[in-house]
This record gives sequence, structure tokens and C-alpha cells, in this order.
Amino acid sequence: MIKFLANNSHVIEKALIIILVTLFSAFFIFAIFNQAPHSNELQVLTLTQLDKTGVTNIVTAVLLNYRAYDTFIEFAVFLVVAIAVLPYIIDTPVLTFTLQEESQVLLIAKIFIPLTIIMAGYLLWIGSTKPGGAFQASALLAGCLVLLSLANVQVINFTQLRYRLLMSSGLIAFIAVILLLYLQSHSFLTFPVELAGASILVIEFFATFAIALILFLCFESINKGHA
Amino acid sequence: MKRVAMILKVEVNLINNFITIFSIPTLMILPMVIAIICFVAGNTRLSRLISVISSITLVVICALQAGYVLQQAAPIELIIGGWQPPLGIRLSINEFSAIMLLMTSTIGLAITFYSTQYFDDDEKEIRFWPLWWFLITALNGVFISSDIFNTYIMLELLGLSAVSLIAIQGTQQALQASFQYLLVGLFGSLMYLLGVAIIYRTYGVLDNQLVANLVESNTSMQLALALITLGMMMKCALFPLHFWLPSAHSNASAPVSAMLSALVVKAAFFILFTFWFKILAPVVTFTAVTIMGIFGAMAVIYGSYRAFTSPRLKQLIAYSTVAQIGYLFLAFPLMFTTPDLARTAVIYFIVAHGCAKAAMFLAAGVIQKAMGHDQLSQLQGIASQLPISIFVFAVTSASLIGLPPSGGFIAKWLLLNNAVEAQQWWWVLTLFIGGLLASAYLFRVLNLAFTTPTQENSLTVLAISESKLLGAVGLSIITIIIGLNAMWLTNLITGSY
Amino acid sequence: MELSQTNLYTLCSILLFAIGLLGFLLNSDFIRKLLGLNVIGIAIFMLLLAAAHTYPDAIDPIPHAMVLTGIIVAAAGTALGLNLASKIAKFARLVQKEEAATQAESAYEKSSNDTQGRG
Repeated sequence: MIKFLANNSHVIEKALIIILVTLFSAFFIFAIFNQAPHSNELQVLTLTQLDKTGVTNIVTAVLLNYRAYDTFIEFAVFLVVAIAVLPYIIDTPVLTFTLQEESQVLLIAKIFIPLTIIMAGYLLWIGSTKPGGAFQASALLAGCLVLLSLANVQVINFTQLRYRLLMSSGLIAFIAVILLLYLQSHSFLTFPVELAGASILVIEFFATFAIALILFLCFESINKGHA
Repeated sequence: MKRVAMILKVEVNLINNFITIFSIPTLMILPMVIAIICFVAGNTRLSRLISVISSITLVVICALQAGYVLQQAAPIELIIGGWQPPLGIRLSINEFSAIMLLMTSTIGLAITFYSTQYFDDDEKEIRFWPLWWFLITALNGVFISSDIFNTYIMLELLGLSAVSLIAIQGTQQALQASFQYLLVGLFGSLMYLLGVAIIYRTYGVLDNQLVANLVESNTSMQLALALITLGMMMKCALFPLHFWLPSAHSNASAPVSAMLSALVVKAAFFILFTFWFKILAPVVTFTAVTIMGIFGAMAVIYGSYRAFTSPRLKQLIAYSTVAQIGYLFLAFPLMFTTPDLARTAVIYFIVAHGCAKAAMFLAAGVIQKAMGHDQLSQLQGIASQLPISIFVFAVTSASLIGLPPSGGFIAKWLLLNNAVEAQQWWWVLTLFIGGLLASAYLFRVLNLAFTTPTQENSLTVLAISESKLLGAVGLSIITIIIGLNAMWLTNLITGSY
Repeated sequence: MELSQTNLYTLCSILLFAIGLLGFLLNSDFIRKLLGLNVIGIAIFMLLLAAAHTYPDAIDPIPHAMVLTGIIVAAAGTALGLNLASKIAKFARLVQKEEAATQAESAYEKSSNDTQGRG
């Protein structure tokens, strides 16, 4: 008996895990459907206050005004990852990628990149009224950079000061806005109605570049960062 | 004379204004600005300078806040952007978080000072400073947050910066340990997020106070509490889920291990404690707290045993953290019958252990640097070579074991009193066994350090300056001071509920 | 209890959660564990989104914002995890190469010893 258990220990372990997870899911379903969802009127509240936020898209209003503090910390999370994955910060081994020939990828890149940049700008701009905004735009921009990298065009040397500045620009813009508003209204992260739209746009504008660069860095660090 | 009094009054008013309005945002903005400057400038000397200066500033701010909160017996609150919850986010500092913040900044200062002289590789140091400051931001954020979703974001910031700090060590073991820690951390915070999602689905609010007002005992809240407990148990390495801690804490560099052991696990404990006894208090039953107590007792015994058999110094200290976390959970069943006393004991224990463990890891870092490794078997006679490190180690050992004039003694004494008062004497047994085991494994190190080495294994020690241990010496003196002023401190803490 | 759209979403999110949990617990592979965590994350986001539609005519924007924030944070965690995994893999390759080199060396020595012995 003991020998049997010892021989098949990993099979038994797996079976045990499957049984436990199944039981847990059953309990989960029971617990969730036993309880009616809430019926408070938060959405009404968010809507009635919407004209004080400087934007008309309700999700953007939550992200960058009602709960802007969460977004602020989220930028910091992104910067932490960037610092952790940067292959080198100060001294680099010199890596040069020469452009060998007109590869197919470069051909595609030449057509798509201008269009994508326009699309990203558009997404950033409509963020205040319709679904869209900094993250969507930055994902597109990061896509452009990835395309260039796959075509063997070295666009960015991450050891340079300006790219570190650009990577933290989202957070810097956010802090600058917070400090300026502090002078104006003497309270933390309060956007006065007349300045709210502009401040949110400034933050989103810089965040777009910062996040695009960090997303690209994440790709690059795995692709050929520490080869 | 009158004029002086008036000026003093104006000053007091100014300080009060500063504390209530400006101090909370400063706790977040200042470390973040320093982190960005350190990252963008990429200059080690500048980073060291501004890090030390701003650490001192943070200590001053946190001391003012703690004084204000404990004296006024009222929390400091800030509603962000003027949006009242449930719409916006509320930040608040109560007596527990004020003490945690003060402890964070004090230990932070000691470790910052140590780190200015610790690294000999520029590339590592440049990566260290920004991550370090983001870690402090995250710790402050966890302690001041009063919103369950915001706490999740803070947890992620905390977890990711801790993982990155372990990974900068760059060795294969460190990378593997940090990957394991990342998996545990992400899993833990996802369990927490699921708990938050269930709470939001049921009540539609995210603010701690609003949730606490609405909560009733039902199946879905039990599920939420269970999930949050699972997640936080993983993050603070309570016994059956402690498997990641020894490798993560012993493979990081000394300043990082000190911070992880002293504060990062405590942040997870802080969240767990808030959920059990404040936010979801109606759901908690006596069976549940007893189970947590049993886990705690098992952690004390298992952790101490593993510490006793560890071959390496840092691993020994890491297992000792597993054991000491167990003591904190012993207070859970006591919270049910004598909440005020148990709360004070928990706060006392966290501070005593935090200071002692940070100082101990810093001393171990010096020993490791001097010897080139940290094998216990070759530690003989180290006391004559590194007297200050062994002094720090001995004083903090006294606190961890719970010998009289130290903070650890008072913390254990409070727990013991508590257990007797709550008529749950069986926890006393765990306290005694834990103390005995702790003295066994810590005296094993000290004993080796003071024996004269025999001819064949004489020490080869690098000449290394011990001046960086200034902060660690300070911390070990703090563990004695909080032991000597126990009456005053416990009254202050208890009086502020 | 009728099977409304919201309830269906909730049910699916729980099933997805179970799948993710199994994926995380049963696999020992680094990348698969990370993917399992991602599936768990998506299941939680789906649960939140289902909770946003408790009214038929209006949506609750707060869960939507929470999900957007959560996605970004999860992406950051995954990126860090992949980066660490690739560094660990690099170490493993180095070790393999070294082993191969020492093996080749010892094989060479052995063969040269053999020839010497015969000579």
C-alpha cells in the first residue's frame, strides 16, 4: 500500500488538486449565486458628478479623476518593471545592428507605422469622450517599435539619459500636475473644473509615450536584451 | 514672554496644519520623486546623498504624525480630490498605521545609511536606489490606504519592487528565488483581488469604513475572507505556505533581506489584521481565529526547528522570521476575548521584531562580506574580528529570544498576560517552547562566534569597515529602549483606541 | 434563478477561474504557471465586469476602471516574470554548455589516454 502511494505520488497529488479545485468551484458557485448583487446607485452618482470632472467618458472620469490615485500608483508599477528589466543602466557593451537589406518586415513597417501613429493619436484624443485613451494609444505605439525591432532597425539605445527621462515622463507629468494643483487648490489631487480637462490630457499625453517605451523595453529585454 | 508664547502657538498651529493637510501626500510623493531622480540621474553619489537626506525627512514627518495621532487619539484622514467615498478614495492614519509608518521610516533610515556603503558594483547600486524608494512608497501606501482596491495596487507595487530588488543580485539562486517569490506574490494578490471583487459585487462599495458598516455574516463574505486570508497568508509566509521565504530572504543582498523580513511581510500581516478585526469583523468566528492560532503555533515550532538545523547564517535568520511571524498569529484567538490587550501586544511585537530582525540581517551582511560566505561551521572566532557585528547580533538575539530588558521580552510578556487573562493558557506553552528553541539556535551562532578557532580552520577575514553598522546599532538600541519604557508606551498605545 | 446574461457571465468567470487555478497548480513549467496566473486574472476581471451590469440600462463605471487598472498591473507582472524566466533559462543554457564542454574535454583526455596506453 505504502509502496503504491510512494510510486504514484505525483499522480495522487494531481488527482487531489483536481478534486480540491472542483470542490472549491462548486462552493464558489453556491456562495456567489446565494447572494444577490448590490443595488446601490453608484452609477447614478458618477453620472451626476460627471460635468465636474472635465471629461465626458465616464470610465476615463473614474480612472483619472475620481480614482486618479490608483492610476498614479499604476504608472509607478510600470516604472518599477522598467527598471527591473532594463538590461543595463549605465555602461553598455556596444551592440550595433546593421541594416542588411530591405527585409519584408521593413516593407510592411514602412506602410503601417505612419498609419498606426495617426491611429494612436486619434485614440489618445477621443479618450475623453469615447472608449480610448493613453493605454490603447501606447499599445499601438509599442507595436510600431516592435515592428521596427523585428525589421532589425535599432531605434532606441536604452542607456541614454533621454530615454530614461521619457520612460518616467508619465509619472513626472503626473507629479508635476499634482504639485501645480496643490498650489492652486491646497488639496491633494483635486482637479478644478476649468483645469481638469487640460490636466488629464497632459497626463495622458506623456503617459502614452512612457508606457509605449516601457512595453517595448519589456519586449526588447526578452528578445535580444541580454543575449 | 507673551510674544514667545504667541510665536510658539503659531508654530504649533502651523505644525498641526502641516500634519493634517500636507503630511499624508508627502509620504507618497517624496519617496516617488526620489526614486525618479535616482533612476533618471543614474549617479550613485547623488543617489546616496538625496536618499539619506530624504530618509531623515521621512522619519521626522512620521514622528510628527505618530505623536499627533497618539496624543489626539483620532486618526488623520484625507479624502482625495474632494470626492467622498463611495466615489473617491480615502486615506487615513490610525494608531496602528502611524506606528507602522514610524517603524518603516526608522528602519528605512538605518538600512539606507547601510546601503550607501554596501554595494561595490555601480550597476547594481544604480538599480537598487530607485527600486528601494518605490518599495518604501509602496509600504507607506499600504499603511495609509483605506480603500480595498487601492490596497491591491499597493500590494502589487510592493510585490513587484521586492521581486526586482531580489533579482538585482543576479546570481542563479537569487533569480530562481525571485521568480518563485513573483509567482507567490502574484497568486497572493490575485486571491486578494478576487476577495475584493466578491465584496464589491455584494455591497458595491470599496471604502474600508463603508464595507465595515454594510457587512454581515453570509456565505459569500466567508468566501471573500477565506480568499483574502489565503492570499495574505502566502505573502506573509505563515506556516504551511512559508516555502518561498527562506530562499528569497537568504539569497537577496543584506539591505534587501533586512527590509523584506522586517517590513514587507508585516505589510501583508497588517492587511490581514485589518480585514479580520475591522472590515470583515462580523464574519470572523471563534473556530476561525483558533485555526489561525494553531497555524501560528506550528509556525513557531517548525520555523525554530528549521532555523536550528540550517547550515547557513542568513538561512537561519530567514527561518527565524518564519517562527516570529507565527507569534503574531498567536494573538488572533486572543483578539476575540481581550481585543485591546491583544492589539497592543501585536503592535509591540511587530516593532520589536522589525527592529531586531533588520539589525540582525545587516550584521549578517557584514559577516558575509568579510568572510566571503556565510557557512555557520566556519564562523569560529569571528567575534574578535568583527566585534560590532557580533554585538548587534547578540543584542538583537536577546530581543528575539525575549530576554528581560528588551522589547521582545515585553511583547512576549504582553502575549502571555493576555493568554492567561483570556483563559487560553495553552498558548503560553507555545511561547515557552518558542523562546527555548530561539535561544537554542541563536546561542549556537554566538557560541561559535566566541570560541577560539583551532589551528587547522583559522579565519581568513577581509579587512572591512564596520562603520556602516551605525544604523543597525541604533536599531538594536531601540529594541532595548522600547523594553525599558514599556509602561509608558503600552499606555500610550492603549489610550489611543 | 433565471439564466440572465449577467448570471451566465458570472458562471463562466468561475469556470475560467477553476481552469486557471488548475493550470497554475498542475504545471511545473515556468511559462505555464505564468499563463495560469493570467487566466485567473482574466476570470476575476470577468467577474467584476459581470458585477457592473446589474442594471439593464446603465453600467457601473467603477468595475470597468478597476479592470483597466488590473489589466495593466497584470501585464507588468507578466512582463517581469517572463524577463526573469528568460534570465534563468540563460543561466541553464550556460550550465549546459559548460557541462558539454567539460564532457568533451574529459572524453578527449580519455581517448588520448587510451591511445597513449596503447602506444
